[in-house]
Amino acid sequence: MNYYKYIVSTLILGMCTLTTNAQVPGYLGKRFAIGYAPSLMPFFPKRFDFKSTDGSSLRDYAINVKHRLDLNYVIKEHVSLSLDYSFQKWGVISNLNNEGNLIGTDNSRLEKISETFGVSDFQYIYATSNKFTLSFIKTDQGVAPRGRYFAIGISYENIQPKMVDLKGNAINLDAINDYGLNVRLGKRRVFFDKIMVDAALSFETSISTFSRQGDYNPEYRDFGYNGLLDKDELSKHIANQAARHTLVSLRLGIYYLL
Amino acid sequence: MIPYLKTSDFKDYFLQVTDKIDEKTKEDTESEYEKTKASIKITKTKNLGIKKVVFLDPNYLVVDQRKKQSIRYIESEQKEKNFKSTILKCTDAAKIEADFIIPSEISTSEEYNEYSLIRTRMIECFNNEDVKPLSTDNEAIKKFMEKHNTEYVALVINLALTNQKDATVLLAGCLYTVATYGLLLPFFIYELTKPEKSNALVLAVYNVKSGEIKYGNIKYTNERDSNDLLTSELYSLITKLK
Repeated sequence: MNYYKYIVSTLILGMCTLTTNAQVPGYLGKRFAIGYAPSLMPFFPKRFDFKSTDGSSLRDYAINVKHRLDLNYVIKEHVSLSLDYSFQKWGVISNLNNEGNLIGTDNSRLEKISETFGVSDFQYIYATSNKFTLSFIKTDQGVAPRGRYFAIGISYENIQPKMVDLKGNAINLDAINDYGLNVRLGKRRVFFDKIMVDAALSFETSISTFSRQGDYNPEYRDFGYNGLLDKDELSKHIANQAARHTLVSLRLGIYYLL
Repeated sequence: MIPYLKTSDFKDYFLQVTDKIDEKTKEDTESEYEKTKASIKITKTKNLGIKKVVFLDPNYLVVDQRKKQSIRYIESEQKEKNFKSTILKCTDAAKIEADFIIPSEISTSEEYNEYSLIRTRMIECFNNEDVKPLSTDNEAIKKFMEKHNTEYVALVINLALTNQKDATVLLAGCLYTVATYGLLLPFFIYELTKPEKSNALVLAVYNVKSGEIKYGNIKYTNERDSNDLLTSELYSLITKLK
C-alpha cells in the first residue's frame, strides 16, 4: 500500500516540476489566473417553484446566479487547466403567497410535503449547492490563457435542500449528489496586461444520486406518500431544477493574472 | 516609412507574404499554409540561447482587401508606433535585451549604411536559402556585432488583414433562424455585417556572422489585431529565442 503512496507522490511531484519548469509562455510569462466567474441562467418556473434566489419572496421572473471561484494554470502553449468551486442557492417550493403569508392547508400538495417530513407546516424549501469542477481548456487560436477556447470538464456537486419551518428554523432534507460532464465555448481577452475577461456559453449534463440523511424525524425516513410529492419525488424535483440550471448557462468571468 | 514601403524590396516581399496569407484565409487549413515555407523558413527550434537581439525596422502593415487601395499606410504607421513598445514589453518579460534599427530614427550616414547592409544581407538570405551571400563586408559586420554586442538580427512583421466575408452560409442561417427561432437573429445579423479580421505575425532571426536564418515562425490567427493578441503571440515567439 505504501508503494502506491510513493508512486502517486512521485508522479504528482514530477508533473509539477515538469510543468513549472517547462518553457510555456503564458501571457507575458504569467501562467496563473485567479478569478470570479459567475454563471447566469434563466429560471424557468413551474408551479410552487420559487423565482427568487434565496426563497424568501416570490418574483415573476429571475436570473439565477451560480457564484464561482476559478483557478487557472497554463500547462502548455495552447492548453490550460482549471479548477473551480461554485456555490448556488435557490428556492424550491414556497408555501407563501405574494404577500408573504402562508397559503394554508387547503393546498393538498404542500400539506403532503409537511406530513412526509413530519413537520406541522413550513414556509418554504430552498436548496444550496456546492460544486467542484476540473476542466481542460484548449485555445484553438492564440496562446493560452487568452483567445477563443473549448473546454471540457468533470464536476461533482452536492445539493442540500432545507425546509424552513414556521419558527424560521432550517431542517436539512435528503442531500443530492450530482456527477456532471460539461463543455464550454468561450473567449478570453486580456486588458492592461493583468486583467483577463472571460465570456462563455456552458452546457452540462449530470447524473444524480440521492441520500437519506436529512435531519428530519427518523420515523419518517422511509415513509412515503403516494401523493404528488413524496421524498423521492421532491429529491427528483430538486435534481431536475439543478439540471435545468446548468443545462445551458452564460458564464462571465474576471481574472487576475499572476 | 511610407516612401520606404513604396520603393524598397521589402514591399514586394510583404505583398508576397500577404498573398500567401490571403490564400490561407480562403482555404483555411493549416497544411496549406506550409506552402509559405518557401518564402520564410519555418523552424521549430527551441532554446536558441539568444541573450540579445537587434530588431531591424519592425513593420506593421494594415491591409484591407475590401478597399481599392488595400494597404492602409496611415493606419499602418500609427500602429507601428505602438508596435515598438509591444516588442520592448515582450523582450523585457522574456529577459532578452533588445536594440532597434529604425530608418526614421537614423541620423547619420554611417548608421544608414549599417542598416542597408544588414537588410540587404537578410533579403538575400530569404531569397536564396541555399546560397550564402559573399562576405564582402566582413569588416562592417564585425563592427556591427561589436557595437550591438550580438550577432542576431530579428525581422518582425505584423500583418493585420480585413477580408470580404463569404456571406452565403450566414445568410442561409439568418433566414433559417427567422423561420424557426427569432431570438438568434441579432447574432446572425451581427455575424453577417462584421468584417472578417485576421492577423499574421512573422518573426525571423538572422545570424549576421554565419549568414543563416536561425529561427523563423509565423503565427496566424483569425482575430482582430488587438493589443493583447499581439503581446501574447509575440511573447510566445520571443520566448523561443531564449
